[in-house]
Amino acid sequence: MGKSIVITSGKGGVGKTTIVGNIGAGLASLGKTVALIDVDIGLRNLDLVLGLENRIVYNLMDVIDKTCKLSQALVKDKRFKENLVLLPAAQTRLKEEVKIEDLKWVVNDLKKKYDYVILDSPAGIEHGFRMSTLSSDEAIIVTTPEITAIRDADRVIGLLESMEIFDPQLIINRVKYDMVKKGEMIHWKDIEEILSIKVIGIIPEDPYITISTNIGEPAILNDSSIGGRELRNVVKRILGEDIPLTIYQEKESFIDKISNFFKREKK
Amino acid sequence: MRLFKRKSAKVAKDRISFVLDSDRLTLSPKQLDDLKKDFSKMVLKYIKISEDDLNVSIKREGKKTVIIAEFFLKQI
Repeated sequence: MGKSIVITSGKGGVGKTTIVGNIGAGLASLGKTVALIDVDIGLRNLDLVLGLENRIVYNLMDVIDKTCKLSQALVKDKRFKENLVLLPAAQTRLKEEVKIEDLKWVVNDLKKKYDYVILDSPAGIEHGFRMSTLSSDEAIIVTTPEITAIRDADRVIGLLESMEIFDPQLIINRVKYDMVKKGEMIHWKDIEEILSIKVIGIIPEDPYITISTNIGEPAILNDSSIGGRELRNVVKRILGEDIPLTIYQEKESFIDKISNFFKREKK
Repeated sequence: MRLFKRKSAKVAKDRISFVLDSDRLTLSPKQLDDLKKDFSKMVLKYIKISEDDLNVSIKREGKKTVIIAEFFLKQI
């Protein structure tokens, strides 16, 4: 029996969908079987992140309406043989049309066959968020170092608790290390302390993420992507490996080295 | 001038901490301020303390939300 994990955030635009696509690809490339469910009905996007948009025939709603079998709606990602499948969201329906029980049976069915079932929750704390959460065993919350996202993450932690999902874990996305160093971006340790929650990833801001979405190939598959590298560590932590948290640091340029040398001299 | 300017990350931390305290207790910022003042008034009846020596925070500990009031006493 597999495990279901919801990836959620409260606030929109923090990188949930990108992270779901990358974690899915990462787990699959390490030999795990993974089913990804796009629960953002009406605003489907996970297919684009994975580059699978042209291969969709059926979607989650067709499965629930019994227009097709569950196995027919799963889009296989050929890069990972049979290891990674996507259950796409319906683009022209409403979240409210899905009953919590319906999503639950889809998730439970997938758990029988796949090691991991990962749900891409819609932003917000309404029905879409609730049904994704109530269908999951565990939760991962995504935030950025902005206080608006942190506040929403805190609200989500409280709501998860009321739905009896305890000990969610946190991914801090889009961290600009040079700003943290200058004291112009809130430090990840402060975020961890404020939210009292375990951090399993600090993902640096990485322009390659835009390119990876442009071409439909998750950044985790690219060895030179700094975001991809930290996402690979997140995947290993999900698999239970004990990897210490690291913050990506830009290498000092020659000019930085000189200016830092003189700064030190002044002190 | 730069010396006296607080770094924006510190400002962010203070602001988010305050707003989460008020969110978690479902108290308005004004009510939260009053709560903190009443706390210090209560202690002030017995011990000399200024409002700056009081720190009230609201933390989540597992399933419970806890109010922690710390009073920093001067060395006697």
